[in-house]
Amino acid sequence: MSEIAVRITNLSKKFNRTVALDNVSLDIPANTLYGMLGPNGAGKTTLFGVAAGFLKATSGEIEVHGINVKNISALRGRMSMLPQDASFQSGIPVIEQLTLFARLNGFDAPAAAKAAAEALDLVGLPDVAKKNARALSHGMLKRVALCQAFIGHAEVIFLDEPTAGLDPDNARRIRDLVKAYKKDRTIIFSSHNLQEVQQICDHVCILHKGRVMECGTMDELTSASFLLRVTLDRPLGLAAEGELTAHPLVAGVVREDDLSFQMKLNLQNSSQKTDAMKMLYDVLGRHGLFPRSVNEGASLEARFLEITGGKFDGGSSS
Amino acid sequence: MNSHIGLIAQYSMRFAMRTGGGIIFILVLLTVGFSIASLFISPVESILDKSGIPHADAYKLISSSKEVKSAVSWITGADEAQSNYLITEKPGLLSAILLFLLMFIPYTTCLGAFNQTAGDIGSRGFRYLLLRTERRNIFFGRFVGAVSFTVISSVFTMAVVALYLQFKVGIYSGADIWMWSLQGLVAILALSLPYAALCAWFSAILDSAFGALAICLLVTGFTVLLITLFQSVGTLSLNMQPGDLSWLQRLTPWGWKYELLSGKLQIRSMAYLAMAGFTGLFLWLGLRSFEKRDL
Repeated sequence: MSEIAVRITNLSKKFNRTVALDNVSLDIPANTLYGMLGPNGAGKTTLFGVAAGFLKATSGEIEVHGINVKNISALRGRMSMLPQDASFQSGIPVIEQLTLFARLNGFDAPAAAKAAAEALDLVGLPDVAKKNARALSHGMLKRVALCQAFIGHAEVIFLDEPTAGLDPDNARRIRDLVKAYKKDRTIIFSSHNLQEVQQICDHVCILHKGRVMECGTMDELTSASFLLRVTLDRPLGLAAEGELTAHPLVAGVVREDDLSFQMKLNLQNSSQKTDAMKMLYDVLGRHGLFPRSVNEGASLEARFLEITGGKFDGGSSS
Repeated sequence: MNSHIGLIAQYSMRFAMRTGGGIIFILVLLTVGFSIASLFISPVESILDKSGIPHADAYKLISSSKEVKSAVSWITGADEAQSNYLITEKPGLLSAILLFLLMFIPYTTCLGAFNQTAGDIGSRGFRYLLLRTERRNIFFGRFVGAVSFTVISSVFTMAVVALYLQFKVGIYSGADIWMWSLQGLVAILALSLPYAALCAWFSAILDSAFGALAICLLVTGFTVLLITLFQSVGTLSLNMQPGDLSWLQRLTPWGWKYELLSGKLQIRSMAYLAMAGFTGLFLWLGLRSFEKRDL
């Protein structure tokens, strides 16, 4: 049985009458890249806020490697976070603030300065060391915020929407950094970008309205629901539809409009995907239908939308 | 985690100086201090110069006058013995400066200490610190940082005033000036502590730096006004003696300020204990608020 890095037990958080987290219980295995998904208001940031100590839980607790997160001293240097909406002191050079964080982590003054400089190097921003936070762009600020989470060698790192609001290039840099650092660490990564989570995470948890709806490995969630979105040159006839629906690899066919349909697949493993695609082309070919486009609907997205009741719209969630 | 308190205090002072807030506060305190000193020193110097007799002799004449002692009694509520102590046993000019400084210290302290945590609570500027240290370390570190500015400004003000009195006015011995300046400095700092702690409490409750400033100044000033009003109403309308409601003043640090300069050790000690008590109470209330709230 794998070690548990983060254990969340019966966690609830209320803001006046609003229930942001409703009796959440969750175990996050060690040395994984764990995706936390959910629509706006699902409770992801609230959960991260309680873990970091920004927010006080109404009930329940969170433990990191067996230590209650309220015991900051014991966790010092072992846990870090990129908060979604924290701010740096404006008017103060970034390097000085990072040095303070390193010193609070337990580094002495020279080592703290070195660790801060290395952290900025890590995110490709050595040149902004002496700049004030006010002088940095949104993307740069996000990367500086990310680098403070990597000061020292935290065993558990929470990243709350690290790529939100970033251009594709910066977002890719951050994903690459996260992937490079996932070895020997547990990284909990929250995002709205389902493709991003599917791409880099090996476990995922879906939150909705403050509750855990589903969690497991990426394979478990994605193989349970795989989706193809097909656009044809002519309408799908009943005979072709019947043949597709009858196939054991197909869970169902749903027409979107005259020329497009979704085909939900039942796969035991991802290698059956090729068989399903081949079958699709065979059936369409026999009925004289030509596919203009075949998109792999992000199966994680399909599962996400299924759980949260959202509407599938060209690969983006709503 | 005492080292964390020290670190946070050190960096908060450094950051305050960098952003200008700390410098402005020091300048304000120095301006107030030197203005008060000048208010007393300039007229006395003028009188001494015009008197045509040695300054020390002229000064003895002034300080032994009934009018001067009555003025001190009226301001401080002190008896004749205490008035004598302040005017004749101690450097009287310095006593007058200290009495007035003590009146202003609560307000100047508020100006320096109002934003210990409120601004950063509102801007979520503590979140990077909360990952690394206990909330109490942040609270006390910010408090120590705020008090440090008051200490620096007060030490500088008193040093300059003492030097001026010793070398320019020349009516007291150096030892008398410096001893009394030191006592006065300790009294000023003792009075500033509970008000800094009060600011720490309000700063922990509120999300806005401006709101914290407004509340700190209002509570500091309004409490004094309210108590004075009660005393006036009691005296005028309820036929009470002026001293009957003096205990109300004791419910605030304000009511103990002049006892910090008392000639009697017992009274002085009680005043310092009261300051410690108020400081402890406000800090406890502030820490409780800071530890319980969402940041």
